[in-house]
Amino acid sequence: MATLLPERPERMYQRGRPEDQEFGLVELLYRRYLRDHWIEGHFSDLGFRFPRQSLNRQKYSEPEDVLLSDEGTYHVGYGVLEFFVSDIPTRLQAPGTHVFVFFPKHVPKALNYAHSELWCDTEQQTGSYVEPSSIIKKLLRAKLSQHVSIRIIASA
Amino acid sequence: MPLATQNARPPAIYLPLSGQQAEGPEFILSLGKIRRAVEASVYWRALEAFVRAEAQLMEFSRLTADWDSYEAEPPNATARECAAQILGILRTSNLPPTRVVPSSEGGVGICFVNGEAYADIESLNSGELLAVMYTGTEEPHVWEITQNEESIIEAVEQIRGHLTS
Repeated sequence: MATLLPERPERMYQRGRPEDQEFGLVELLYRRYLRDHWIEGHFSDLGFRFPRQSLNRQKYSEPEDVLLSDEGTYHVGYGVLEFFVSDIPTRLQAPGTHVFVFFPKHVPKALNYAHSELWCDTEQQTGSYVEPSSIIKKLLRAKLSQHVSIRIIASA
Repeated sequence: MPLATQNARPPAIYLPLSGQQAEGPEFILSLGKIRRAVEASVYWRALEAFVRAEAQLMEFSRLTADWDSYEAEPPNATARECAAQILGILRTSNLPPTRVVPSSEGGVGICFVNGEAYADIESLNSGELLAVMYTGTEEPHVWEITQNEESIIEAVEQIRGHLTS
């Protein structure tokens, strides 16, 4: 459910600012979540997805900013979770597959400068987004879910 | 014999309660006793969990695209039917799930939690079946399940062992 929000905070506007690909290991990343995916004290990996999972970076935002949409609506009932950049497994491999590397990428939007994505590439660094195998995706989602903390509790 | 006599109701074998009796303390106490007996029964708790899980699964057919606000696809018929098959096997194996949820990857997740131990079976829209289990921040074990009854039963037993170890 979304509802109209009175005003977008100034910090969210890009206003000509460039990309900043310098992420600190202790920088937090924020994401909306639904109450269903918080199960008896565990955040389920089922609440994460590929490809290019959307996140907001702490350096340029507050946790509640992820509750605002580009359309000027507010995601009512959603919670906000967080994890550190250092919680992203940098390198994963399953038997018989490539080595996949994961990293956050700053992808600013006009109305959400902090917008970032979780990217995947091969160890050979193609420079493009590479879709990992299903097993690797599941493993990454599980590893991330193990490090999630809840910043704003979901009610929906 | 006249029709009215043929269909006449036999006399009641119970005493009808008046409105006052139905709300009285004895009646409320007996309802409480029944409730506590149900809660104490492993069988009834498992049955309730399966009924709840099947109801949750049915609800997913009403989800629309972008249900998670991050453009997730709703679980399709393939994922829902496979999840229903797994629930049937879980019922036979007497391992009730903690919750059934839609997956942001597009599909259905059947989740199990016991304290620090977590596991799920994910039935994806692509037809793939994946499972994961871990305890706390220990290394997760992820594997692919072949879509046949034998493999699903094997996965269910692995998860049972994980939850009770």
